[in-house]
Amino acid sequence: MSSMHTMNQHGDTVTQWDATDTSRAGRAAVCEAERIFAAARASGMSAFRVTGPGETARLDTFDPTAPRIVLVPRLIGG
Amino acid sequence: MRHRWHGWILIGLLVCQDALLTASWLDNAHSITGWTLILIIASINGFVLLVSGLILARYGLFPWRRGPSWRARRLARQVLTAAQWREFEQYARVTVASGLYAGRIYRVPAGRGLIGVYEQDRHSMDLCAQVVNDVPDLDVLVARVLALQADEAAILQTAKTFPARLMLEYIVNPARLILVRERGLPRGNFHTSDGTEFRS
Repeated sequence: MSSMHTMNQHGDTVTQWDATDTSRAGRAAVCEAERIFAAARASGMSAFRVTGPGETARLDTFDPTAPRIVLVPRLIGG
Repeated sequence: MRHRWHGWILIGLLVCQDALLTASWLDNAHSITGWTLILIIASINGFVLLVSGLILARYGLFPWRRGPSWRARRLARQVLTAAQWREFEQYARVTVASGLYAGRIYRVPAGRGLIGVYEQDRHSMDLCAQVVNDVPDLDVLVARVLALQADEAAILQTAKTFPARLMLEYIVNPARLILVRERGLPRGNFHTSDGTEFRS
């Protein structure tokens, strides 16, 4: 089971899917996660793939096999 | 949830207290000593109830109390390493080692303060990188830590840099800080004690 955390004013919204689930519902969940990812990226958010604590990589395109994706708001110079 | 069993132990204690209270009431309700005993047990019961309520609320075990801060805390625990989490709980900051520069570490504060940059354990400069959206403070920390771990070059490009010595000057001379707040940072190049040059 993979999860995507989209940071917002409520903390974060979690979207979950199972990349190995080939049923209709499973594919729909992956599509929905991909849609949220694309919308977040379009709004300027950065995406990170977290494979474990401290193991992080930048993500530019949606990866349904990523165990955890964290979408963070854009960082700007203060 | 690692702390959920705390709640169950406290609930068990409360049930035991209630059973004891009922038994005492049945046995001693006819005398003043009995009523005193009942009052003592009831007071202990109330105290346990208060403490358990505070602990349950602290760890977000009441579903209706799981607000933004609780969610941010949960995400931070999943993303940070055990050592980083311990450091956060102890010092309200997280240290991230640089992947680009040997001997450099970043100290990310829990809130929206400046990120401290340390070269060979010496405070060389501060970085100001803020998230554009309104998110809980712990999410700001997670965002900065992830950015430093996965995309350090980008955050260094984006963040505004303040030489550590310059910030000290503002603390020593608050009038200068007021001027900076009104007019913005003076433009120019600054040098730290080790000769590194920064642009502001």
